[in-house]
Amino acid sequence: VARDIGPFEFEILATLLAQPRDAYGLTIRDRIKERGGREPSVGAVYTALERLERRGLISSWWGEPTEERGGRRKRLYKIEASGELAARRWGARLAGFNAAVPAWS
Amino acid sequence: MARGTRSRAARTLRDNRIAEKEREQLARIMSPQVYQHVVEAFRGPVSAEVFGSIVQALAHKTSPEEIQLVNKWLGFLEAEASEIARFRRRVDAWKRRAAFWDRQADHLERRAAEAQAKAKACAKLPPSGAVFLLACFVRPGREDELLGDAESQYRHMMARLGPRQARWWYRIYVLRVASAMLPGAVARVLILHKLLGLWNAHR
Repeated sequence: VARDIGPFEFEILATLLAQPRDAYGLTIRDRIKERGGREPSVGAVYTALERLERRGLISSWWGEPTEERGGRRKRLYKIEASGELAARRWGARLAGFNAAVPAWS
Repeated sequence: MARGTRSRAARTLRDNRIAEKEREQLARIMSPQVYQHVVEAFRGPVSAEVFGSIVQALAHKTSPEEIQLVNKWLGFLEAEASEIARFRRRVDAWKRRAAFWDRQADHLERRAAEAQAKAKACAKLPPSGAVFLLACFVRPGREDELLGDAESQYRHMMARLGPRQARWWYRIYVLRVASAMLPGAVARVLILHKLLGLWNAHR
């Protein structure tokens, strides 16, 4: 599974790991922007979330409709055990690269 | 004003001017109360009682000139009364017309206020065309998520930038999202087309 996910999907999984509650499209995008310093495109976030859910790495459910959203519901996301495992593997790989960086310079 | 009406009014005025001197004569003949009756009769419609009182008061005057004068006066009074009644009818008609236009103006003001309130309410909502376009690209069943997120961001932008800029921001936002979701939407349409073709072939 770890090989299947890309860097952007890893970013989403890491965000969901850091924010286990009430995470939805907008907040995930904002967190990625805060951490990574770049603004991911809106469509990319939603399609990546859909893809991750299809693979069973995350799960989602509908929240309550709110006035601020024009009476529409939120889609809340939660990371699954397989997603957490995939994210940790990715993290470990990154840590390995990170450790190697001083040796390169 | 109709031609006949104008000429009638002019005639009445001319007669009134002629009557000025005769009025002075009449004031001399009449008792002050009767003269007051006559003056009042000019202001409103002349009633039969007023005529009666004038005739009674002047009954002892037997001079033919005086009787002629009184008759002439009664003729003037009648003419003036009918003129006044006619003007009153016209004023009533104008009042009715004014009331009608007042009602029309009220109705239009109310409509304008409603339209203004509607425009204000519409400004709070994102542009409907863009919402429709976005809804076309979203995968069925996920409309609430994407449209809701977009609307909450739109409201945030409206508070920050104002309605005009927020609407433009929303349109650009929709184009960006739609461009990212275009492949999926095209694939859905193609699959649907294929399924329809298969179904038609099966039939």
